[in-house]
Amino acid sequence: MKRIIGILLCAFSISGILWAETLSIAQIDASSLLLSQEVDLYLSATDEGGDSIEGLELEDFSVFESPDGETYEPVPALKKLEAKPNQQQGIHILLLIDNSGSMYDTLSGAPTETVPEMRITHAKEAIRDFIDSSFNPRDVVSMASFNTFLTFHSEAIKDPSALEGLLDTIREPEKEQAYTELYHSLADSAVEMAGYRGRKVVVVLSDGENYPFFQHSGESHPDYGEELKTPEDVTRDYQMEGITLYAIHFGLSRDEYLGQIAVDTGGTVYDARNEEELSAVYRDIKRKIENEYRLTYRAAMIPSDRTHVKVEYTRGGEQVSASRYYFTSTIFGRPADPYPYLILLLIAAAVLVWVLLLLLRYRKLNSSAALSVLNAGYSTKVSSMTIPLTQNKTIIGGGERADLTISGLPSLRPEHATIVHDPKTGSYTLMGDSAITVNNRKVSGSKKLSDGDVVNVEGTTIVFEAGEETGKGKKKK
Amino acid sequence: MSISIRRLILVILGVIAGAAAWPLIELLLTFQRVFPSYFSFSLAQGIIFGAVLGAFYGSGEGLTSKEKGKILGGALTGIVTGIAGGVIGFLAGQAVLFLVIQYTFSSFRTHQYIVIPLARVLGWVILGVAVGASEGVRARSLKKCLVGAAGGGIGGILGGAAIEYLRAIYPDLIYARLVGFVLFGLFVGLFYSLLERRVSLGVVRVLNGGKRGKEYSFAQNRLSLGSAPRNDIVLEGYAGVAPRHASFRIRGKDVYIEKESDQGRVLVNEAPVRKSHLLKYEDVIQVGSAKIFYKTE
Repeated sequence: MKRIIGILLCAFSISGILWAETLSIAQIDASSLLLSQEVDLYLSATDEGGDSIEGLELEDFSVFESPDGETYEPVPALKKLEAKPNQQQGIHILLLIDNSGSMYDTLSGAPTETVPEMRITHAKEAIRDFIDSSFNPRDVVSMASFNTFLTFHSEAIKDPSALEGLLDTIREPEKEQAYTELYHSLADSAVEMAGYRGRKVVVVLSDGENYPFFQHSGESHPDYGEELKTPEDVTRDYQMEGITLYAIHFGLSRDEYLGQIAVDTGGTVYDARNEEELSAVYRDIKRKIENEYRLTYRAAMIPSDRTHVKVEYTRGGEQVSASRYYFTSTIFGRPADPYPYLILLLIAAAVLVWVLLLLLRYRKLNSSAALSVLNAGYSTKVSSMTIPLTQNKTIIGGGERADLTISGLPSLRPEHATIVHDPKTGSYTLMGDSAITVNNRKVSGSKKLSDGDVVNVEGTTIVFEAGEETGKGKKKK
Repeated sequence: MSISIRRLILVILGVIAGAAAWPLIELLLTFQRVFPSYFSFSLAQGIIFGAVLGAFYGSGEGLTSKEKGKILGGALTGIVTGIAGGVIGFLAGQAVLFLVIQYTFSSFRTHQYIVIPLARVLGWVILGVAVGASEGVRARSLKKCLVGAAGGGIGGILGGAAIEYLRAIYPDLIYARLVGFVLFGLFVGLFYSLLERRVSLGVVRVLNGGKRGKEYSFAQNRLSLGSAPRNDIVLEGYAGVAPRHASFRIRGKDVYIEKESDQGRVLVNEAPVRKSHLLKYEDVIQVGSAKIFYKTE
């Protein structure tokens, strides 16, 4: 097996990616950040031959954080390093298979009508072999194929062997469906995977390059319209959703950017030339994921909506590093820089307004007796809301000559009620009939008023205010 | 003071509370690196924001009634309940940001456009609920707590959404956060007032003496009257008023006046009340020398 993988990796054409030890941050879990200030990094370390590096210790690692991805600072503490953490929580693997027209040629690229010779047949057999291998009971697998369209052949299922029968639902596309919407399909797969928790991996098998329908047919795509996805779009989507992409080139040509997308998302890129090599690649991917490390560290308090994290380890004198970011947005967000000290004056201004509200006097007591209208009756108008009782005789009525005119009520007499002041005793007496109430009681003839009495004249409510001099008599001495 | 002016003052208090909290929060944010964890940082934000808003809102009742004891007591109660609400609100909001998101929705798209704003708004709602309920806590009235909580909650939704919306549009504009804070305070005060009006069975207005013109809303199931400062309607300076003289009580949709002291008299429309009396609109209640008018809002 190792010999085959070595051959595959040696055949890999993107220089500089797999010729040295590599470290990738496959996923960042910051769900414990608020309660414990801890962040988990899922790390994948491989040697020059592409094999997982085992036996790494916590002391081998250093972790740094940065608000901008440029200026890094060491994190306060590394807490623990755990090998093979995915055995506990399981993995969600999406097998994404190229089902474009070229997959129905032979491995050497020649057209054929013989099904066993078709590239797709070899791919299906390798996948059958893969899904027959041992899986963790917590693992889930789903399957999709793509050409002009992305088609999901299964939901996430816990028994991968159930996918065997579904492989036959991948059928040769019609001519207009034979385009290769590689980037769109990768992006849509990320959306599909986004709803799942835990460790998420997409393994894409492709025999060619991104060959969009819109770009090459000149027509608008039924689903994507005229939108074209770039490799950067795909990388960003995968990084944001915490999904790792593993890419397998299974054919004579390969997409120029697929390998870089895989590396940038924490995955690896492979070449496979036949069914045996392809089976070996699938098993290697699974082993790599199973052999990941979980590094737990105490995060720094960096004011930033997203915090970049860089992890390094040194082995055999060689230093390897990887970086990604996670979201650390707080409710109020980032601080103002520099702090505008003048805004502190707002506190003084607020307190000043508060004091003004405290000092505000809302209503002065009338110095002399008065009538104050509390509510005008329905569809009526009053000539004044307050009238002083300065005369010996004050008339309330519907006529214009009344001191307090209530208009709009035909039933109201011109002189409906009269308040008579006795200067000798200082008292005020209401003269009226039963159409008037004082303190909700009908008046029969006359009624001596006291401070705060409520007079109701055909629905208009009036308060008698005795004034400061008279009112003082009511207060406690 | 009429009930309308009192409510307007509550809204003004909300605005100045938001304006006063903003410089302090901005200052706190500059010290993020000093905090050992996001937990303690969230606690500090909740304490400061809740305390400032709680102090201003809590002083509202005393401020409008011009009773010094209620100003201080209300402000202190407001600070305590505001801190409780602020802490709960901020931890809940931050937890949703950091924790719940990861375990429920794993999509960044959902995070960015739906979950993160919703999570933050949830924090604002909890904060608004706690601050709005503070006056009910001070008055020891469950109904007033609920009214305040609901008003504060609605204000929290709108105010919180305003903060998030402005932040989204102007991420680098520092004053966007100020506008958000002010709107938050305004909406909490406004919706508290609107809801109080909606559930109220009317108001009573003092007709004479030192409290002439002061109105009280039936937003709680009981309003006590007396000369002692602990009453909801403090009739200090009126002749013949006992320390706890009587109470307005709500039973269903009916309002009663109940005597609570044998020392003084209670009259309704000039007729003495023996124990309890069902009130109707425009009744005039006399407690000692104080006259009170029961009316619709």
